[in-house]
Amino acid sequence: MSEGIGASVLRKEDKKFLTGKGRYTDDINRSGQTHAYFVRSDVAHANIKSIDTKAASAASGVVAVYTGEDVAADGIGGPICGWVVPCRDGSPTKEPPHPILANGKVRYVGDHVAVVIAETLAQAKSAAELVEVEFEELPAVVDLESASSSAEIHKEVPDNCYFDWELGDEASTDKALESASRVVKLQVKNNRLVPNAMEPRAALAEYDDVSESYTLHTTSQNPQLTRLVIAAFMFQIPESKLRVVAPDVGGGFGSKIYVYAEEAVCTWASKKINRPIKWTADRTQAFLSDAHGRDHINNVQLALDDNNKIIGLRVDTICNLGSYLSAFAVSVPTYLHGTLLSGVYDIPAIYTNVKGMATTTAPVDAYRGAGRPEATYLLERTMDAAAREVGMDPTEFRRLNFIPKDAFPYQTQVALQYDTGDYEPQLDQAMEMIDYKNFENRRSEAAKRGMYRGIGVSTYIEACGIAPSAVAGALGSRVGLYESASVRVDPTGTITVFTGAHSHGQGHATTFAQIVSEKLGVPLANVDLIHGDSEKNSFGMGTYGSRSLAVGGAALVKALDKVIEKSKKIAAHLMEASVEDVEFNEGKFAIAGTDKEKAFGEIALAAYVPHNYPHETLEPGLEESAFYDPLNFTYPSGAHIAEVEVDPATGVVEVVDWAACDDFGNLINPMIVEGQVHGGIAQGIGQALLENAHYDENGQLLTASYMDYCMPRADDLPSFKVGYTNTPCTHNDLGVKGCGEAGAIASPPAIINAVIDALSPLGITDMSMPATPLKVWKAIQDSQSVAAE
Amino acid sequence: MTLGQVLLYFMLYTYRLITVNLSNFLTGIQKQYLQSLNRSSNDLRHECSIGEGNMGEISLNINGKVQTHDVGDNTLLVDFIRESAGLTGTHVGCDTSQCGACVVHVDGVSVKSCAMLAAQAAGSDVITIEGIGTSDSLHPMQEAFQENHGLQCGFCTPGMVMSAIELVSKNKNASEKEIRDGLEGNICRCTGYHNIVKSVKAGAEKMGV
Repeated sequence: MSEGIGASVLRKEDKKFLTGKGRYTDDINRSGQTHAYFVRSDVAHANIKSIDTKAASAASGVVAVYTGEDVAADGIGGPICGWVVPCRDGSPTKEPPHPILANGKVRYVGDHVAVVIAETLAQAKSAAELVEVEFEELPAVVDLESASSSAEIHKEVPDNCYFDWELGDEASTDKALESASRVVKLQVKNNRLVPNAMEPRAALAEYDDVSESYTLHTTSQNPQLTRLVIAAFMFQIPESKLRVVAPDVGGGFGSKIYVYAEEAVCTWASKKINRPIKWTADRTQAFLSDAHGRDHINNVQLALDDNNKIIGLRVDTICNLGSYLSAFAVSVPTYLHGTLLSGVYDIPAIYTNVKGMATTTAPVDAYRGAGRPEATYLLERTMDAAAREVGMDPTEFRRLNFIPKDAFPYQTQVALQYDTGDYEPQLDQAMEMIDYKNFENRRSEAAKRGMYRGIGVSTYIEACGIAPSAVAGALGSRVGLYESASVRVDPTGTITVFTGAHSHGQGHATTFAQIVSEKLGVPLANVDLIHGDSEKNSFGMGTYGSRSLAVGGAALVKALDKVIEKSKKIAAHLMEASVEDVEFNEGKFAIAGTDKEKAFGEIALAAYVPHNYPHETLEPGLEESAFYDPLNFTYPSGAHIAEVEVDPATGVVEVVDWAACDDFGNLINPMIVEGQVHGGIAQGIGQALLENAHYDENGQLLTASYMDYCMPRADDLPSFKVGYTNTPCTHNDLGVKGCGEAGAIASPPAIINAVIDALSPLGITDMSMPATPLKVWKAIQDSQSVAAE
Repeated sequence: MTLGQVLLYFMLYTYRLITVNLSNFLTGIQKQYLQSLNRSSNDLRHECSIGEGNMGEISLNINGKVQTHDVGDNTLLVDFIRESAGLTGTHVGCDTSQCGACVVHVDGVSVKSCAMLAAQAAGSDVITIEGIGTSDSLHPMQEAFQENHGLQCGFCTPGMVMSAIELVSKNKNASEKEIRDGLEGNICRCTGYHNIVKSVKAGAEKMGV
């Protein structure tokens, strides 16, 4: 069986995880290690009048207690903002300081006030209780819609507005709305979520006073970037004096992209006490201080002409970015959201305005999909609302407005140019998979059992493979978004790949090895992958935005091409032929028109045992590197259809069937891709039916454990039918588009559209996320009382 | 273990659950009430804990090897396994006995090891993920998880596999619904459970239970 591209080979990394040999940050211990525990604010918004650490410092086992004053005295800065946008009035994004230990003020429940470092975690926790903090409480700012007129959170952020940004042509869009024969209006809310990777964030920091350098093991999706930010921007030390390692990482979903206060404080303090420091979040700390996701309110106006063709779309959004601007918080609701508003539809005029607001809640940043789920949700909800208003089947209304397949490359009105796509076959296939045409029979059958059955469609697009650096830079990114890869061939022909991407569940050790196996014709077992260690790996941008394969994999191909190019020179020399005559196929270098050939292993050996070698024209060794900067985003798309049954007695929504047909371009390992789709759908169902991060009016997070925040469990979900179409990406060598976020982007509107469809006999036309049993039950009761009147 | 010891352990366990969970349940009103008493939730936690005494040495047979270590009166079984025995395959994902990443078998029964005191398990036979198979000779359930792509990041996997083994041992021909219900106490954020359910079905067949 082939082990190369397209083969569902089993994962190389599985055995260590299955036998308990995974090595996550908290599994690592050091001799002389101390433990850190953070004193956190238990109020949402307050001036700090005083902090008394005397009793804590004197407590049993305590090594040190530090506050924001100590951090400031050492000139340690806070995490930086990686992406900013210009405001409508020409002013820049407001970037308030973000101290890693609070300096004079706390701005959310969970904000870091002090750190206690002790011999044991229990001692650190006990001593943390002795830190006396006197707060002068200020009004909490929780409600997004009134945030602009609420208490000032940062003096640098007038009206609590970080930015007020726009994209598209307002005049032509408003003209379309005025001239439309029908304008469909809808307000939707995208509920606030907590990413909840199963491994809580952790850090193990060490300082070596001989080499004067730090080593930080941490739960990161992009350790090289963490190193750059901490060394250059926060500590202002030579970058080479900090090594950052992200060992096995137990899921990320966006939440482990950023540099957080905890790992920076531990790193800084490890030098001060000259001992290793470990910190691991418990789940409630994770709920309080991991960056949250989503939290938008979108007001949508969709203009239709007489033929039900869309002629314009206006979306006014306010989004909650929380107490401080997290690294990529600004990009999520702007260039990862506004640019996706054309969806898979041919829309001649689009305008969007986005206001990014500060509140006294945890920072909000990217969570699986990051901006694109919000765009897809508002658009797909509106498509269904419009279909309902004009009396069309939602699939037919979508078909009428799809970008036709002969229109590619398609320039949207919101900056992006889609290179390829073909949307009708996806919808056809998904409808076939779920037996759409016989749905009404199933609805009738369910009705006989007293159940409301509904079906919901979502046809989505996403921009991933993030990102062309030039485009990202022009749009406000302060970083490039290329990726690096190195291929080291050993003398015996075994291969080590070094990538700047980071795997925390995605299976890179397998997928990347398959690419090598395909290109060089070597067995999968001969290929190893090294990632996640700034001392070993070249600078790279890490894993998020479904970019690892589309950017990191493409970089690997570039490096492999260089290996092949050099191998051909070696082969030409060994076989005394011209390099132009060397052909490489299935692991063998052959001279065209002769029976001369050399296996890849022979070339590798010759590269390192260069006897009789033309040193003037050929270096010994076989090791090549490449950086790849994509030419465009990639544009995966698809159709997801959900079928649900609602029990009117309890309000419980059961997802009874699911069909997904996605176009990810070429697939390297279909088994892994399918797993990514499943996981994404599950998170989307979680958003639609179960999950909600809820702050009360005082800014207390009421959902700060798994007893109050409803995670999707096995019995909440169905099995999924997954299929594919393929229009290969035109601008990377693999023809791949990325698959990590698709399920989470596509699924929430499919569910809610299905719930609304199920309840449509009751006259229900709206349902907000999460559609909890209580909310659904109340909607049913209300509809019945309206009917009774 | 005498009846008195059992009762003491039960009390310690209950106190710990109360003290651990208290802070999660506090609403703003409760906090105000506590503040009015000039006491914080941490004060309460302090008062509720019965000292931080040393229980002395206890012995557990973990994966066939007797492990004898000093423990505190509040040392959890999971900490004994991870910190004292150095077996880091058992994970902590939530601290509130919800997620199941810490599931091990104690005397043949699956247990969330974050919800049991080490002392409660004294003298018991404990099997962790490291004890059911090796990379050269995987347990049939481990094999099934690999063959069906039942894991991604691997963090929930040890607990999931340990729960799955008990599940199919008790119910040889578990249906999809029974498997889903049976895994309700194990949270996975990566896989959407689809392939875990497939793995458990395949694992049951392989185990020939």
